[in-house]
Amino acid sequence: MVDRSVVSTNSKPFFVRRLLKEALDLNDLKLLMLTVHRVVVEYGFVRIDKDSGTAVSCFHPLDDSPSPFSSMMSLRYTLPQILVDGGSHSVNLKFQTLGHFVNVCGRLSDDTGSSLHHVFLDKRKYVRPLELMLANCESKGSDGKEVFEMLKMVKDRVALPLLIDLCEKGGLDLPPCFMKLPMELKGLILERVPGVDLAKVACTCSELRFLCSDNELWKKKHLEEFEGESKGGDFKDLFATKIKRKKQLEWFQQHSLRFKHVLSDYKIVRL
Amino acid sequence: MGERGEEWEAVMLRKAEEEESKAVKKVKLVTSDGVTMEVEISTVKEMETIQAFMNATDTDNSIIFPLPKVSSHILSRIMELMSGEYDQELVKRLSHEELKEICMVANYLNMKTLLHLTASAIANLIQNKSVEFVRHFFNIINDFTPEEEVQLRKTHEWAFEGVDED
Repeated sequence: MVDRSVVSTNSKPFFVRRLLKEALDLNDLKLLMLTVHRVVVEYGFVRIDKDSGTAVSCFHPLDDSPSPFSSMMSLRYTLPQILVDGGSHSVNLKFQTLGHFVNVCGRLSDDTGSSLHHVFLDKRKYVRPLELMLANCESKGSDGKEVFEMLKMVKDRVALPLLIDLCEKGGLDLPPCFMKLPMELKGLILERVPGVDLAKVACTCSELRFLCSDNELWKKKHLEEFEGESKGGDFKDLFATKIKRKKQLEWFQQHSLRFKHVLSDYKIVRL
Repeated sequence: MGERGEEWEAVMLRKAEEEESKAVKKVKLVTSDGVTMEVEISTVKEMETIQAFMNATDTDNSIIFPLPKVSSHILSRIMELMSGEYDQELVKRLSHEELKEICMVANYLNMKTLLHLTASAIANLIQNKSVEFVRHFFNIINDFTPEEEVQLRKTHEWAFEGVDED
């Protein structure tokens, strides 16, 4: 009776299936881990040993977690310059299987109060394209779109923020970014940002406050978003007045049902 | 019939000539990491900086143009974007780092379409984000005093949540 139930579900005994599934899950996790590891190394990080704090050879296997079937693994990285300076700052990257997802999260390892950067990678979506890419099968209807998407997520949400955090902590020069763009390019980009966002950008730092205070820029925004002709003056003020009015109107329309009776009362009073 | 044959011959000859001239005029781009990339002359048409250099030197042979500020990785990304006719989907795949690098190269090589495209893509990243997000993502160091920041936010209140319920 017991025998039959096992065989009937599948030709392979249940425990073998479970073992195989666990092994495959582990393989998926390792594949994603290896991919993330490559991105992180590409950003200039070096892997270090958790206990000794010394650099680990790139040929060293990635799994140094205690249990081979653990659903969570972690790796530690630092920057070569920090090792040279004799510093001990590093970042910790954790990989955790949660159902179909692998949660990749990282933060400074010696500062638990620092912000956590993480990304969820869908195994169903990314494992197969990665395997295809590894096997060099290009013509399988996939143009590597998923792999690009995944790499971009890991770069922008984990690797770059961690690099910025670690550079700040270690007192190193920050990686190149928006602020390193020449002035004319910043201007070109700001021209394409909507007025409301431009005002927020002005609150970030003094250089951008200066760049965002250009009257010509606000004249352009005013023309784009309100189309109204205006003779001159402070276009930022004008923009602010119009946006406030617009928001008030929107708010009023949203709540108009609630205030219908108030409105009619108001009308009566006015009449 | 004979006339037609001659016509056909002429067409083929022109084609062969065209191909020959194409084969001669190739541009070699040497990147910062020492990789030489050979590209068709039509490819560099959009790169106004190189075009101006070619007009000035006026040679029939292939030209070598050094790009000391451009890595091979970024150049190949640019080639992908150009051959993909600047598809938005391709732009979406770029990381912030790549986007910024490409924007700088487009500026340096005077590639108008690419410059416009990357500047718009970066501008899109700024939209609908909080001040803190913009600071973090663009790695901007806040150099305001707390008082200054409070004041700034007050004057730009209209850009933040809703409108004050007076």
